[in-house]
Amino acid sequence: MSTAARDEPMTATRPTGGVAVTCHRLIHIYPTATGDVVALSGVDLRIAAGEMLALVGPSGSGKSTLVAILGGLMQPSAGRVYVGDHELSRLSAKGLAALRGATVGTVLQGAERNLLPYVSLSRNIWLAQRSAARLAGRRLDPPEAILELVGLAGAGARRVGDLTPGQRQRAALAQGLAAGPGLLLVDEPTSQLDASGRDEVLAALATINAKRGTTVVVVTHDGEVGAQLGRAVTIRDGRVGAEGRNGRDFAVVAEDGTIQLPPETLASFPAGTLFEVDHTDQSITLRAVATPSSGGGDDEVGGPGGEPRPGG
Amino acid sequence: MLIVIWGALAARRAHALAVLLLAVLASAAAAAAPSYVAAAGQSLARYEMSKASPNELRVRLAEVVEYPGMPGDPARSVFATRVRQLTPAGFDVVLGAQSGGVAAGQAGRVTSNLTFRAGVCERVDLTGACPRATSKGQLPEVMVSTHTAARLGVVVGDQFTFGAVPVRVAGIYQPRDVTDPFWLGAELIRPPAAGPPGTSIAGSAEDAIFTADAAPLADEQAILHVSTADLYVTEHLLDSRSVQGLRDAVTVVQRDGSREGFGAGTTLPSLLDRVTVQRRQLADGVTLGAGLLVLLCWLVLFVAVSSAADQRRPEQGLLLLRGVQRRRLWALAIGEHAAPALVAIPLGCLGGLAAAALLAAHTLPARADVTMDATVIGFAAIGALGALAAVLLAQARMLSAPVVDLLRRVPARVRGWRATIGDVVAVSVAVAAVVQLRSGGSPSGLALVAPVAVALAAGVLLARVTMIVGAAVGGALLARGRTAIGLALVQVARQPRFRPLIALLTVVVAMLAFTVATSEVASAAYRDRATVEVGAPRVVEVDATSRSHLLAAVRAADPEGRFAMATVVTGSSSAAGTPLLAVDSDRLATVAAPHSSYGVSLADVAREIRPAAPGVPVHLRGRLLTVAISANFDAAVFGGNRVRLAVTVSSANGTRVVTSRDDIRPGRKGYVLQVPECAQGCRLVKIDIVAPVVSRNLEVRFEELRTGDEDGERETIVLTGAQFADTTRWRLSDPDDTFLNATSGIDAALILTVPENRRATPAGIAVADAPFPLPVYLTRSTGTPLGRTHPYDGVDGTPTTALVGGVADRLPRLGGSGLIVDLEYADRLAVASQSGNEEVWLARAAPADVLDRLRAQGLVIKNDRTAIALRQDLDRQATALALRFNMFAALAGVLIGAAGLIAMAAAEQRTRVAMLVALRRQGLPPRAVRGGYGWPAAVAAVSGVLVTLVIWLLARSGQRLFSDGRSPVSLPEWPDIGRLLLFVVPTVALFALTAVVLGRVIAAAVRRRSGR
Repeated sequence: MSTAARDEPMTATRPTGGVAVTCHRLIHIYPTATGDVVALSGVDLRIAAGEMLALVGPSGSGKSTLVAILGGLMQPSAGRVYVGDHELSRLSAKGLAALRGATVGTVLQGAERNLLPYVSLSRNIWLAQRSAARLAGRRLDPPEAILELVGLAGAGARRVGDLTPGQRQRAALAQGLAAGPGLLLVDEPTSQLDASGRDEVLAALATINAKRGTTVVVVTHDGEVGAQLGRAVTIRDGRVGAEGRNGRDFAVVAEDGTIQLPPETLASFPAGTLFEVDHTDQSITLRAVATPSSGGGDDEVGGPGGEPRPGG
Repeated sequence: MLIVIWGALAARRAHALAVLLLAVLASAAAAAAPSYVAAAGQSLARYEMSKASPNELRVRLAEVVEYPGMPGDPARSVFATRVRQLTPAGFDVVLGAQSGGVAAGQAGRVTSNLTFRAGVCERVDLTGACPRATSKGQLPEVMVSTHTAARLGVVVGDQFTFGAVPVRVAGIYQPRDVTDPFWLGAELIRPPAAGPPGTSIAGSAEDAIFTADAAPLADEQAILHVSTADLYVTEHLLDSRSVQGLRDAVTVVQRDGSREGFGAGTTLPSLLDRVTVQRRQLADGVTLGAGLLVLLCWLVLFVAVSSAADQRRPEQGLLLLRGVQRRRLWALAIGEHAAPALVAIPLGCLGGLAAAALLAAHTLPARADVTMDATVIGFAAIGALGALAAVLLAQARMLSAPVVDLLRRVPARVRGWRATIGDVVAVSVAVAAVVQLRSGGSPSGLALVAPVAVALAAGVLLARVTMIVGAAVGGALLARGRTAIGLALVQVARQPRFRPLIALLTVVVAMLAFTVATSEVASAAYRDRATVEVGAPRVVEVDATSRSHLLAAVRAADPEGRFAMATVVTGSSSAAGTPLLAVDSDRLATVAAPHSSYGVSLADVAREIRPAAPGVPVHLRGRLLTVAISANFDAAVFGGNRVRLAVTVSSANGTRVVTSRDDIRPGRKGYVLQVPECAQGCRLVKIDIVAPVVSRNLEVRFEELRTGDEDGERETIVLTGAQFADTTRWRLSDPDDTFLNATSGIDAALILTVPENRRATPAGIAVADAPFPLPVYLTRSTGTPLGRTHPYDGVDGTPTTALVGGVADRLPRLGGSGLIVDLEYADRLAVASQSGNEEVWLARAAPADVLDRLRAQGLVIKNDRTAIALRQDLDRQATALALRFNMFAALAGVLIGAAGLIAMAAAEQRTRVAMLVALRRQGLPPRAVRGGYGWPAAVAAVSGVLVTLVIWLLARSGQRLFSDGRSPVSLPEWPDIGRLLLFVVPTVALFALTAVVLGRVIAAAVRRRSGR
């Protein structure tokens, strides 16, 4: 993977399909009046170009911070993050602005927050295309085509106030797609929708991914949404805690060798529990030999190997 | 982009309208100041013109002409051609000619001027006709005034001679308005002389005799006359040209006129100086009010837009999220607000003009036109562009915030230097303004707006303190379960936008109170100055033939002493001298206006300065006065040094020294003196023995004083030897070097001994009909203690001394420096006719015909003024007009403050309602659902009072109340608190009412949204 030079001008033409994302030991700390708050404490994550992925996790787990960094809204405190060819921590504010304008589309939680209420949908999309339109050789789809892509053909003259909640969310997606980004970050797109609305939005995302090859990252509380997107990464306490694929849950070995146990397992084996590790080529077996309360025992954690190893 | 701007404008119509209205207000406030200054400047110039002396209104060019004819119209002469070339544009020219001489008619003669003056016939009421041009050989026609006709004994159609030239009376005139500058003051229509009873018709026998425009005479009758051209400055010139331009034009006329050989004279520059000073003071004074208004408008815009900006943060964040560049964000923000600001300029111009016109109509002393010019437009533009700048400054933080901050639902707190920079700037400006103000001299620049600067600085600091205290107290109250008041306090304390609002309301309250206080003090100062400076409710300046005539005339006009008092006022002959007020003291307490600043009652003053006289006056009646004396001296030793007798008498015509025809010789003799003025009665002042050198002892025995007529009949003995011998009746002129004795019995006489070697100074006896030294009341500032003597110039200008019988802080008319004496005693001690200003002071009880009564006593009315008129004059000076504008500004500021409260509430209503709805659903009691806007009003009331106190102490001394910068009375230290409250309480009540209404609006919205 090459590293983009700092402040490299965004001369790329429209990304062919999606862009890959890589986070390497990503750390972010918020300084506050009462002390520092660690939001991300070493996130390792790889998202392939054109992949669809759900980021799930409880409130405060760090997923919004991760999306903010991926979206070029702020820079990480430490670690490296790559979006396509761009290493975000090396980009200046101007470079980040250009990234937001051309490479990454972010759809904020709450469809109304993504659209200016006093101009039409077409004008909203046109406005979002201004930054990318200045890039040499960049060809942008007309607003109507983008609206058609999200199932809002012919709605260009309408304003956000005239739309149903589902339509609003899809209009927000269209706004995120306006500049033809390689990465689309969508925050809670279904949280305020009924089932049919949710399905329409997920269908639109699938269409975007399928037709444009755009990498799609969706932040959601909804496990079902995560399941429908194929890959769901759970963020817990600022780390990637687990990953679900095709309906199955996996623990993930981080690059520093750590592994987060699922919460239900952690209830049985509290911090301080001693394990014996037996591993073969296909599997790892952890046998608890002592817990802080019992001082011993032979409970077994683990399973057969053979499944793909998360993260690599 | 324009579509986006238009969409934003349309979507935020209410906000755009609010910005427009406030920008119009700012623009109008800025435009109103120069409009008002221009109008008031015109008005002041016109007022100054109306009070100016004739010579201040014109430039006189004159040329001596020897011409074989009567003085006539020089319009077709070379003189007129040259004058036309010299006359600056806009000046009105009146051509004329005049020649002095004696007119002789059947009944008498009069010294007068034969005058031609263009346009005179349109300004008189005529009996007969206006003089017509005549040809050689015809009698020239003239018109004479009623007084002249009476003196000459002529009627229309009669003849009289002027010099050697016979003329015919074509008409008899009465001027319609002698105050018209056309009449040149007393140059053409002469004031009458005091003496015989006067009439109310202006003028006297010496009035000008007017000729026709042409009347050639025979060559031998050539009259030397002077062609004149009066170049009048007009109101239009003062309105339309700069004062400096006019001054330059006058200088050029005088210079070029002199080069042409003309006599050129004017005091017009002194009028221009006064106009300049008044206009400058007006402009300086108005700066405070204009500055306040504009600042308030900008501040309220800042408050309103800051609040609205919080609502627009997500929108700005979204644009940044989409990669829109920040300069484009600025462009959008400017675009959205530039439209209201640009529209505000013409509207502000019109609004400012309307406000200035309204104010001018109610405050200016003379008519003035409020017009739009480049200055007004420029100021309106500054006001509007300042409003735009305030709007952008209010959004600056948002427009420069990181995108991630903008996307947060709750704005991050401002920390570090950014949080306090505004306060630091405000305090720095205030300190600089106060230092400049108190550094002395005439306030200028920043010092002119020092009160506003201090109010703003104190306001922002108190607002900061309020927020901190409010948060602490609110938190504590919430913890104790006092939800309603606690929540309101916390809401205020945690909303940073309340801070500028509190500062704004504080400035409004403080500046209103300060302006009312200054106006109150000014009003009291004007009242005090008018009372003290005039001395009585009404004062008439008169011409009398003498002090005794004045006293007698006033006593005759008001025999009971209820409303009139004769007064003589003299200035000091030297800078260190003491001004003098001589009054008919029996009437002082009744007629003069009392004032607390005198420190004494006028009745006490009157009692002290009028003790009983040691002797009685010696009255004489008869044309001849005989003084019988026996002189004893060695005539041989005196040689050529003549010894003469001199008697000083005082009559209605004045005081005169009469010297005997015969020298005094040793032995007894009656010396006769001609005293025609005593035919109607006079008073003996003193008898002197005059010799250049007294070589040996000289003794004079005064044995008898007689009066009689020239035919020697009806001779009357006024003083016998025995009466002379009563030494209590006499006072030595020189008690140090002459001696007085008396003999009694059949040879009773008064003996004056003059020692040898006395030179030059007369030695004599004066009638002791007044105490000497004269008891006076003296002002404390002179420093002479009670009971000591104080040197001063007497009522006749002669140096003398007074005995300090009382000390006052101030005296009527004289103010803080001077002394007051009894006029009758002062007159008895006077040895010369010279006098100061003769006046009649009148009480409010004076009847309407009092001037006629005074005229009937032979007094000539020269000037008439009242304390009320002086107060009105003071109320029309530039400083008073500026104060009135500032009062208007302060009252307008109250409305702006209320508008600020409403604008802020409107801007943040949505979030406030949303928060209260959420809290309501969580169980917040209904009574706790309030706007919280009462707290800024309450805080502003308290902090406004504190700030007023601070401004008053720091900036009061810098407020100019009098255009001439002086007052005989100290300015009041503090204003009338009652009147202050009369303005401040309704202001706070208005804010409170606004807050209550806003709170109810929010409560209703919460009820609707929460369903309970």
